[in-house]
Amino acid sequence: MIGRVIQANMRSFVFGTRVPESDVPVFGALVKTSIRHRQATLYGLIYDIAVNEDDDGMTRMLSVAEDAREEDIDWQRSRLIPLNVSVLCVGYQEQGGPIHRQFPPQPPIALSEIECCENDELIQFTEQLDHFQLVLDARDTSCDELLAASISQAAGARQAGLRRDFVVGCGRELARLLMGDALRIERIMRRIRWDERA
Amino acid sequence: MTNRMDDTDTIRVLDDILSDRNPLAPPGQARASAQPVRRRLGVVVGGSLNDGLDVKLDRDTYTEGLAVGSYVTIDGQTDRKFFGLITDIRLDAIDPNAQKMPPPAGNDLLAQVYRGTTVFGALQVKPMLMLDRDTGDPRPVKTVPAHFTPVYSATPEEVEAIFAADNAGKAYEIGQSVDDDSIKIKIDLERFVERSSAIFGRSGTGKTFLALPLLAGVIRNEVASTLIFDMHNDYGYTLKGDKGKQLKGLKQLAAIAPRIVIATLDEESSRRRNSRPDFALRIGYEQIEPEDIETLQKTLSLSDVQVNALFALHREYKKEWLHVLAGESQDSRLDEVLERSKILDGTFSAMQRKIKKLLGLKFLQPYAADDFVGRILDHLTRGDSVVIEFGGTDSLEAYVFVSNYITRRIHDRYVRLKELAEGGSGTMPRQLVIAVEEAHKFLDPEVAQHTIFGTIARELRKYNVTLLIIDQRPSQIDSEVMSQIGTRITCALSDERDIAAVFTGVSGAQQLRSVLASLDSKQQALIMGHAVPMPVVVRTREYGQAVYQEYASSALSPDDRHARNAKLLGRDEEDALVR
Repeated sequence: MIGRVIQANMRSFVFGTRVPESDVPVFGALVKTSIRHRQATLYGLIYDIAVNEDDDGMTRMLSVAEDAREEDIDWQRSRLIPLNVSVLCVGYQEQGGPIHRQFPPQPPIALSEIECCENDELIQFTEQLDHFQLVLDARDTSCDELLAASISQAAGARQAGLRRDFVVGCGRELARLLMGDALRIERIMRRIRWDERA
Repeated sequence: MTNRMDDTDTIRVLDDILSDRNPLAPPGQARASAQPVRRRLGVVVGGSLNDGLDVKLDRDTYTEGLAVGSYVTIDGQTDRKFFGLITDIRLDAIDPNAQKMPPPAGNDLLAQVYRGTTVFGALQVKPMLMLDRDTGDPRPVKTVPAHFTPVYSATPEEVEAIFAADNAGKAYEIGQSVDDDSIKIKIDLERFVERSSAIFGRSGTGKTFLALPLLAGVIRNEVASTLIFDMHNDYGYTLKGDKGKQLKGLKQLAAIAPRIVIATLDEESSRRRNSRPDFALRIGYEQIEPEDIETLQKTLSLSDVQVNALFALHREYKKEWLHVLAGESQDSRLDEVLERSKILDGTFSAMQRKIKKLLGLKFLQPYAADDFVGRILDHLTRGDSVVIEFGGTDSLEAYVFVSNYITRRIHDRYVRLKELAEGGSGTMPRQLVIAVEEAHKFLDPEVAQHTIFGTIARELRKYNVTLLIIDQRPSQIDSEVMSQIGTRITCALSDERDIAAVFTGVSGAQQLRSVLASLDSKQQALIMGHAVPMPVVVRTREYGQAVYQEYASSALSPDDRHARNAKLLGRDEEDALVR
């Protein structure tokens, strides 16, 4: 568990989490939560991580204090001020059913637990790429960046030797969805990073 | 037993791994499967019956593996199978930017992504035939398959089934498919001789090497007698090959040799070349009619007045007319005749000069010992084939004169025979094919109206006589004659006008032009028309040992010979059984 839902709608939700630690998700990562009434798992891609202002203005003051002490900064950081992580809903799976790469029937409720997806789940989810269209349609996100980041992570989750083929497959799906828009495809493809040997 | 099962399983698994259909097979080790597979090429995405279908190639179809002139099959929605010919291959793009700004050098990934999506290969396919749903018989195509119908490369079996043309062994294997040497392309000889045909191709493309075995096939299968005007002495006894090689002429092919008669116009040349002619052809002045000379009007540059004068002389002097004109026999009435016929002195002497040039030909003699042309006709009606060698007589006048002279008489005789047969007092004349080289000399628009060849091409099919035109300048042949040609075998042509002429009266010509333009300069030909179910590009068989072998012996069993003779003599089968 890395956090809990603060607010949600059909297309996206925000969850709160502590200051990033090593296993705390990054931009483009696939996370999951549950939609309790449907007994289903909801998948989403992290598209924004925001640091919010605290209510008492302590962080503001510390940020300009000339002689801020390390203890004060550590103390401020250890307070329960969450990072706001925004997630785009990209699919759901009802118990025992197939993964649907489309909007869920209902959003998660407040304080639902959020978990990071393991590699095998990431591989399973990206076996089909129908969720690309949801990402491309999400106009309020940097959707090209988001796609590139999520493809990079999904490629990295795969065995060495299979990564390039996966990236090529993603590129082809994009080319189809973008009606062959060569410039945009190139822009996205250039942002995808993976290492075939690692 | 268990072990053996295991072995079989192992082999099957190995076969799967190494199958040529497995894209992950270890490179260089993939096995070609024994059963040829239908390779999917792409899908139909548009087009029309007239302009051809647009086919978008699948991503993993290599454009380099396709060729203009190859066949594809398209499975229609209603179990009908369409047969089409690839007429163009092009590279297309959804987004022109991808073509203007290609992936940077070294970026294979992007190239791989674009290929088959943003940029793709496309085919232009001309639908040619539709196989009937129930019988599988080829039918002319009258509709097109729907959008997104998959397109496959035609398998050798499919192509061979179309071109089998095996009606009672009257099929002639003209060559192999350009795609696959194992696909034999056959033409239906009966249909080939039923209408006039043509072999076109610029000089050096192997027209003669194509025509000679084809004529041999016609003779051997007894679909027709042939009369060959052999201007360059290639068909009779020896054929001059490349690099001075001597190849066998028709007379040297044992299986048909007894049915070949060689007549020469130049005995000395034939003797020098050792071409063993059966007889020398002589034509006496008294056998020549003014119509024979009329056909030379252009070649001899005779004016209309002079041609009329020829007829006037013939009316007056009958058989002696040419002797008078040539000055061989003196006649006191000449002045009177000239005056009566309003022929001026100057006209007459100019005519005399021009005619004497013609009469200088060695085979024209004041008196001939025999009716040699009658002999040729007898041979032809009996079922023999005649090659007329011109020897050293290479003048155009000689060629035009002799071929018109003989052909006019054939025309007369065949018309008579046919009419007799129709009247119930004779048998139908045997089908006759007259092969003429340099045909444009007779069938040029200005001359075609006058020469007998124009008439034959236009109407003699009804009398069982057709032409085989062998020529390098189809553009110079009268378009009316061209439109009558049933089967066109076209080797490489370079002149645009010639290419356009070949397609006179052919539907969908524009697309086939690109097929013709892609022919190799040797041993490749585009065949279209009456004798083939659909246009086809073939790699023609090499004329040499393999063909000699086929014609090595007469291979006629006594029974076969009996049947053949019975047929030639017009006896029916019941008579044959009585024997």
